[in-house]
Amino acid sequence: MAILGLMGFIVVMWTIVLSACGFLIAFVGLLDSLLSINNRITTSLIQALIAVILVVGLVMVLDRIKKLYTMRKLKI
Amino acid sequence: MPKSIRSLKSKGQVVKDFHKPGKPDVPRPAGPILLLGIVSAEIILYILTLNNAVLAILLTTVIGFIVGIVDDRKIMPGWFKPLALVAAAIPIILLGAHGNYLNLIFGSAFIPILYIPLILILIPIVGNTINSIDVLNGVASSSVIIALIPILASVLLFGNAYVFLAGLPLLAGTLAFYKYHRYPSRIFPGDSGTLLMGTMLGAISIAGNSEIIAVIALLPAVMNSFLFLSSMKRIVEHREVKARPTILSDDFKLMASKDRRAPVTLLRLILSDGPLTEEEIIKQITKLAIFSSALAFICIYIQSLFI
Repeated sequence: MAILGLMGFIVVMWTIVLSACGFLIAFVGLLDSLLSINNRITTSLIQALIAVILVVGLVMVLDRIKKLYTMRKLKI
Repeated sequence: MPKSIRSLKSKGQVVKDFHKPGKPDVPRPAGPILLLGIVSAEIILYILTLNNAVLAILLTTVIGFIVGIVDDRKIMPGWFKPLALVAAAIPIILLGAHGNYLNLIFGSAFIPILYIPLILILIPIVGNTINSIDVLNGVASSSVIIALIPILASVLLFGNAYVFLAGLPLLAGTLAFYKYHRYPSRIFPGDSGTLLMGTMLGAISIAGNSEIIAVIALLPAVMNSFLFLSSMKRIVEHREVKARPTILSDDFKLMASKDRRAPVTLLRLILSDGPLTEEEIIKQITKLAIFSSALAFICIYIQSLFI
């Protein structure tokens, strides 16, 4: 059933989004206290950079999953 | 809507519905009539509340519609819609309809600077996502209706009541439109209709602190855009794609293309197990939309535990 496979793919995407949210809250949000930088803008830039790297990384992971899934399903 | 259908037919503003026997002419676009209904309700709401978020949602919707109607009237290159839709995000920023905190389910992040580019990216993405899911009768409007339910619940819980009220005309307007857009369609939304719905959905999500919930509720549409972009490796209009992702058989069933050059889409993956009729595919997409909305409701529940 193609629909079950797609539901599985959606669950994978959902898990990735939730994991990213959890990581951002648990680690990136705490950088304020972990880093001994007094400059608020510098801390924000570091946080933004980590968030952007995380999103790009997740897109690459998702792209890999997509390739494996489509190769299996469409046999191309 | 029936008057609009008659008017479009009399002006010859029709397109072929290729997936049906005889390829019937279907009036297009429904964007103007959708805009009339939704915007008149939003104007009344703004007069009563004088709330900036309501005005920002209204202006974003109008700009989204304008971008769409330009694309309906004239064939524009692939980059036009994403780039022009950046303008639709500007009212949200100028009127300060967004917050400084991004809701991340397990808490919120204070990102006053990062939020601005995020809005400029989010509105074109949501607009184009709804636009690209408009592949079969009623799919775009039903996807918006199903996604709106958890989004509006989230806006009410984690956003504000004015934004929730501003979201109701989209729900009512799309429900009314769905009656005529569902299989077999009597009218198509066109780019003006899909971009109007998409940009308004994006604006409601941003102004209502429900961006992540919206992404989850729209996962089938997001997935479709992601699959398409990831296989094409660039922004391209569907009409510019040479190898089609699906093939129409003689008995009017759709089949997945085996062509390696064809883009991977949600429709192509649904058809990977064998040919299906248009109505069967619509049911499958609706099931996926309901499933994603259920996941969005789980996120709302999780979020309520962390607030």
